[in-house]
Amino acid sequence: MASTGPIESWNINPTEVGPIYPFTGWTVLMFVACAVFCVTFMVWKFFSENSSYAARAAQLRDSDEMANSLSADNNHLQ
Amino acid sequence: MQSMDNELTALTVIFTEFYYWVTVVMMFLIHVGFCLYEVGVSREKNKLNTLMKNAMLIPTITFSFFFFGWWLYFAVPNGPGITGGLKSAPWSEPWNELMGPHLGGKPANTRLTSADTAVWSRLNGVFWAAFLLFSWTAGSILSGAVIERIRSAAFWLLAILVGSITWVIAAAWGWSDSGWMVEKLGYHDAYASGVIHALAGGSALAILIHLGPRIGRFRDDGTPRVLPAHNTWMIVIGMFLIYTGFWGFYAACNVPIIDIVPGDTHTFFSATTIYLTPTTLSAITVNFLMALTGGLLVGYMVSRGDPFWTFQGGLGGIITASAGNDLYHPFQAFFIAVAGVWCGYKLHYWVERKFRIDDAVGAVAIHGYCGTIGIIVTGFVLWGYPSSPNAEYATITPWGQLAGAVIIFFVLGFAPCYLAAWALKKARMLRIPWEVEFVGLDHDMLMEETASRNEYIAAEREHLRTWQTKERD
Repeated sequence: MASTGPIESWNINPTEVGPIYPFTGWTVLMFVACAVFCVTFMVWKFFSENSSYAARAAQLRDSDEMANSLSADNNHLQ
Repeated sequence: MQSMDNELTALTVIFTEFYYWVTVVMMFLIHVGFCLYEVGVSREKNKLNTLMKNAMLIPTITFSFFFFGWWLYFAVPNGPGITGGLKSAPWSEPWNELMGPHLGGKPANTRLTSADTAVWSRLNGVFWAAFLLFSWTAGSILSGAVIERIRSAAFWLLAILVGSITWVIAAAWGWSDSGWMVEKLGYHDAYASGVIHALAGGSALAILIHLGPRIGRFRDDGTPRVLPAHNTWMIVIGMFLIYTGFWGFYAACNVPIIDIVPGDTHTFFSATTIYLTPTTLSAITVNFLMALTGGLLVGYMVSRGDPFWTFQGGLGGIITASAGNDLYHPFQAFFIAVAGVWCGYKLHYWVERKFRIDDAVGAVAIHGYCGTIGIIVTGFVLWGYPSSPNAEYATITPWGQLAGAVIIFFVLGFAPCYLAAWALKKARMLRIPWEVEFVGLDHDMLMEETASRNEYIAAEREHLRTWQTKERD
């Protein structure tokens, strides 16, 4: 039965065998997919962090939390 | 595949492969140590963010190092444009067959030769991983300095810049048997005082200039306030783990077994440095310990027994002596460590007060200043030694090392991160809003935790009341 890679039997002359992983000719495509995923992660992190910090800062400015945190006797986490 | 058809040569190949694998596992402890150490130094309100910021540099540097960092090391030892052009290194390209499981026989890729596959099939992965762990270390050095106010995404981008680009270029130029700095300047940096530590310290300093100090760090007169660490034990255990991982770092800087005699006149197998110049594991082990000893002693002395600076002193001692620890006598390693840590400590406080630089963990001092001092001292102590087995390469000199220190600390360390941090600051993507900084980066998580705790306690009480009512009835 044909396999997904260059190996169909281990009864071979190893000196003549190169790559042994499956889908040997697909590495450029796999690289592109992996690169797209990782770059997407970084872009997502930049945007999500920016929006969440902006929202959080606005919320803190308008809420009692900041006043509570600024209270002199509320420094247990500082 | 001539190496694997004979028990002795096969043993050498598999020993080398296993040797680097062990160093990688040991070096993993450096990162565990950095995480513990940074979280310990941070305040209670920031500890989870500090942990995640450092832990997630593992994937961000890893993917970037896989994509282009490894290739960069082999491609640019000539500059390019200084001693030659861009070099071809197909085995290090991310899509190359030698980045995956390979028996070392006939290549499928026409750009590879049989010699490439024979050499790299069993070494590419472990070499890649050893270099990657150095990259994580470079990123972690930045991480500690900037805690409690940098945005994570900005930090990871800067960590990629240092971990997968600038330190890799420094390594190609000055930490490679064919780097142009070795060839032309006689640059010598056996255990990476410069290419990792000075470079990352210079990078951290540049980022800190744009990032600014934490709120409340300095009084109006410019003197610093102490922001107490939330867990001293985490700091101490973290430092011990960094020391432990540093053993693996030292071993990984060596080639474990190779014929050191140029040409075919005779044969002599030894461990060598990355420059293929001979050394022994025995010698570097003693020097490591003597440098640690000198650093601990002077760190304790100058800080009057402060645990933080004592442990940092031990690390700074090793870093200062590392550039020449392949050849130093143990007493030389000891005194170089003493001098480096003393200077690093004094410089830290001078820079802190003069320029209001808030380096939360003293990374610029211990890595940047100690590493730079280490490179320069090597030029005097090893003056006239050959930098390479290649007789045409320049010898080690004070001016060669000084030029190397400037290139590493300022050109490759400081300048790129200064520009990148400036751009991030302009885009308002570098520092967190002051409101969030004040209440703490973990504030939302802590509030959610408190809400969850209150909810289940209320549920438990309700359950108990129901049960008591049933019992009474």
